[in-house]
Amino acid sequence: MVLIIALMIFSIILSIQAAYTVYIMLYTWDRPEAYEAAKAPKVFRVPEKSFTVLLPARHEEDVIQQTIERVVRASYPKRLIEIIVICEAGDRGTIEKAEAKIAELNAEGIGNLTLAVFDDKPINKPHGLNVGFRDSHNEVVTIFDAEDEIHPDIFNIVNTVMVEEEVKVVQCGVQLMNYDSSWYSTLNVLEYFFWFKSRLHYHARMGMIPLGGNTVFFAREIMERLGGWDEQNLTEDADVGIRISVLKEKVRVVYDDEYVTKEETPPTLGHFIRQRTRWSQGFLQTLKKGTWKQLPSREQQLMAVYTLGFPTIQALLAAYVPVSIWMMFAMKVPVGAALVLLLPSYFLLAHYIIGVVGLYEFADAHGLKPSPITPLVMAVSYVPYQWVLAYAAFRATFREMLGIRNWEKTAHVGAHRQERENRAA
Amino acid sequence: MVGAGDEGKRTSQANNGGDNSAGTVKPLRKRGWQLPFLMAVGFISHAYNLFQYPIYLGDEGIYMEQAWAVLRLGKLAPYTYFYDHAPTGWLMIAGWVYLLPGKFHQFGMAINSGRVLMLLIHVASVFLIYKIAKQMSGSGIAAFLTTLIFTLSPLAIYYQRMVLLDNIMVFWLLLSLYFLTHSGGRLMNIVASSFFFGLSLLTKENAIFFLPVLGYMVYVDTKETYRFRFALTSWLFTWSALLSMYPLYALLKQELLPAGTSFILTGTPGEHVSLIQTWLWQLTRRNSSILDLDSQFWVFFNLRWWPRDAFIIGAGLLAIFVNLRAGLSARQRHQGALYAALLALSYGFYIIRGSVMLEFYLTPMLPFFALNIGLLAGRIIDGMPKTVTTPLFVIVVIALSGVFIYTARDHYTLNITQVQVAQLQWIRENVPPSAVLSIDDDLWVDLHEPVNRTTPVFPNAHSHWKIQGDPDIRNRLLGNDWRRLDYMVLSDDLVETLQRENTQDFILTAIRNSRLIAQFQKGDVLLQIMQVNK
Repeated sequence: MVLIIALMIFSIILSIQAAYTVYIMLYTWDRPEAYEAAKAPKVFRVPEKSFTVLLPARHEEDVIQQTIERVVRASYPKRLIEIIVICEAGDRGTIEKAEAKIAELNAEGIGNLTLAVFDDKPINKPHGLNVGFRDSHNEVVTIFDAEDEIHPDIFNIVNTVMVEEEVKVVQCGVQLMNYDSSWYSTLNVLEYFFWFKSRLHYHARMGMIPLGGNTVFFAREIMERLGGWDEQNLTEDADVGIRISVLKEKVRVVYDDEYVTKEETPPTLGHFIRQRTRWSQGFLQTLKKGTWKQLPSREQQLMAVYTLGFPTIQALLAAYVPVSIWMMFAMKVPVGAALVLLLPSYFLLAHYIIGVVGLYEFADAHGLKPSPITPLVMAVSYVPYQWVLAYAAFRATFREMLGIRNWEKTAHVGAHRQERENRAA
Repeated sequence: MVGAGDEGKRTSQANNGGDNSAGTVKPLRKRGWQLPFLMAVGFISHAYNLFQYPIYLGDEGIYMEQAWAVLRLGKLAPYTYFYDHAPTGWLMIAGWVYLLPGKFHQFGMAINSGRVLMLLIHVASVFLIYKIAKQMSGSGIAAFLTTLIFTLSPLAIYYQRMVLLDNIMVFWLLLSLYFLTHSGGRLMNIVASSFFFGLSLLTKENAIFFLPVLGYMVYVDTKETYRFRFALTSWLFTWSALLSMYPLYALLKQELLPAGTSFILTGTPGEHVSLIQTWLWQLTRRNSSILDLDSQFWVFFNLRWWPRDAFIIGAGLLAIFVNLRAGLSARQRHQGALYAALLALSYGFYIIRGSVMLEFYLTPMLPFFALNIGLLAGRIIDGMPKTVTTPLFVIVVIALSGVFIYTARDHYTLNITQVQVAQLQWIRENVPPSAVLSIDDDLWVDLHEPVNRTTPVFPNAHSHWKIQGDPDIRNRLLGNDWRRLDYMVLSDDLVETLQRENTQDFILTAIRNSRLIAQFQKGDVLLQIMQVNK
């Protein structure tokens, strides 16, 4: 009996958190004012702000040149953009490609590019960002990842927002695009879709926001006050977000489907698991670090704990659902108790259905046409996907317990670019 | 300045679904007093003489005894629960009784506890229907008249005082409509609306007849907005998820699918009850069509409904068709009128479709009669010159109130339940507690729930319905022998009803072999107690 009551309580707590998760997934659709506020400005102001683009790259020889090209060709005065490609000294392939591209652009008379190479430890993104930041000069600092496909007007948008709204931090939308390239890619794409289109707006309103890793813009003074990125943290972006929240600095989130930075899902399941492990472990590190305790309100602190602990909660939920279904039919429990035990499954179903609707919203926004079987693939892969996330979360927890904190890099093959080219063809 | 790309996306629209758009509800005069006043009127009209009129109905007793079973036995019914209705209604009653210090006997007779809950539900429903009418019409006059009719109509008072699932279902439905008409562009209000609609379905399944109109309202409210897909999906998901708990419950009890012959269908013992079998049984229960002037519908219409309140029926029917016409000819302008008419018509279809009819099945129709009359009258009065509007409104209110109060004078003055109180008292004083009694459900809880240490309880007092039809009672307890019954406690018209329906031969045989030992009469209400000749 005690076991049943304990399971019921556990089930109710899981259901509450699942309902909360569903709510923040739908936050933008629930709040018309949030939807309006998330839009990019319709009219751009005259360029005023100067930008430093930090472009950390490691083993990105396949895509780095295209990325540099896109940034350089952005619709913004070149004199107001400084690009710093950051590489580790041993990564000769990427360095050579970057040098070649820089030389090519210099030949065209474009001179606002530099290559920053570091040979000290640790070899990871936050260290690279700190190296690049030290060599930078412009008013606003931003980060693009090597595989990013940025919108040409992204600087106009941020310039307008920063000037008109006097905000010092702007997070723009990032969107994975190759939704049908593997069994897990649809669900991965939708995670980004809901995160950037909805959930981040909720976080911004609450004043507790784990920022994204790229297409995020900081006024230089903010980054100087923060003292750069935490080089020991596997999710330096989330950590920076929490520290900015502690400063009570307003973060403006812009998600306009047209202007999102396009990315790709990890190419293999192994890469996907490693990427997710890094995120989960980074969140755990940020949680352990305890900066969130300095957040002004108890509500924000709770939310930080919830957000940073979310991968672990998700793992528990994924592990619990089959157990709850098994218990419902196999264990002799009162019928009322069995119904309570089943509650989290209802929210899991809701989560899936919202995902399917999100797929069509995403597809509409980007002019795509999902195959009718995509929702079926989602249905079949839904629970395995949750298990993969759970596995990554457990893996992250064990790595953190064992003190293994090396950076497991995600490979990029340019699938999102290939997809666009295929469509164009 | 540089121009950004074309927005090209659906945009949010505030859409209140009313005759007037959101935020343009006419500030006619200071009307802050109206809603509290109407709630007070609703409270008084329903509370005054509540325990004395109308007579305690057997169905009221059924829901009270099922609430009793929840609290005292931890079960959904004292007898075999055969999925006659989903249990939300009496779970609510059980929750309410649990809160009362004196439990079932807090207000005297057990049904009174339920009636007080109905009173509270009515006052809450007054609030909701006022807000709904105001939002649908944009008119304070329409909202006032709708609510006045809803709360003073003699027919409404008569059924709304009773402990009926229909009243609870209507409350959830109105709450659902409230959130739908006040969505304010928010997805969560649509989810809330769907959730409460789910509760109304789990209270009484005939709420399903409102489903198409509610779906249409959600569609119209959101179709031009960026949240259309999510709104429609979450609306569909929420009520279906809630409703699915009912078959899931049956599945877990292994009572979802039929198993052999059931006593529900044949009156003979089955292996177990089944939700699907009960649904099939409900769906196939047929009565004469309304084209047959001798059908139950016309019997109730001529004897119970029309004489009690011709106004709400006559004006209601007229208003439905006028509103429908107005709504179809100018959807944007008269959207609220269209909704009101469609809501009434969708439930009207349930009433006239020719299935089994009980007189209180009309109850869910009453708020929509009132809504249609109120919206139509509001449009007419609001359309008059300003100098006429206020005097006309006052005259209409006074006239309506006067007619309603006069027509409903029995509701406020008659003490009809005193015969049932006397019948109960006689049993307590003259019948041994070990005796086997066949009773109607109106006295069930009073005979099973002790008032205090000196009042007897009668554990062998059983509903005549269950004695006739439940194998647990008829076969296992009585050995299929009417001689094991000691007393036949007869409610008003019971014998005539049983003879007319001719489905309870076991009970009728026992009555035929009994002798009258007490009777209680008030007007044409006659209750009897008979002792079975062994």
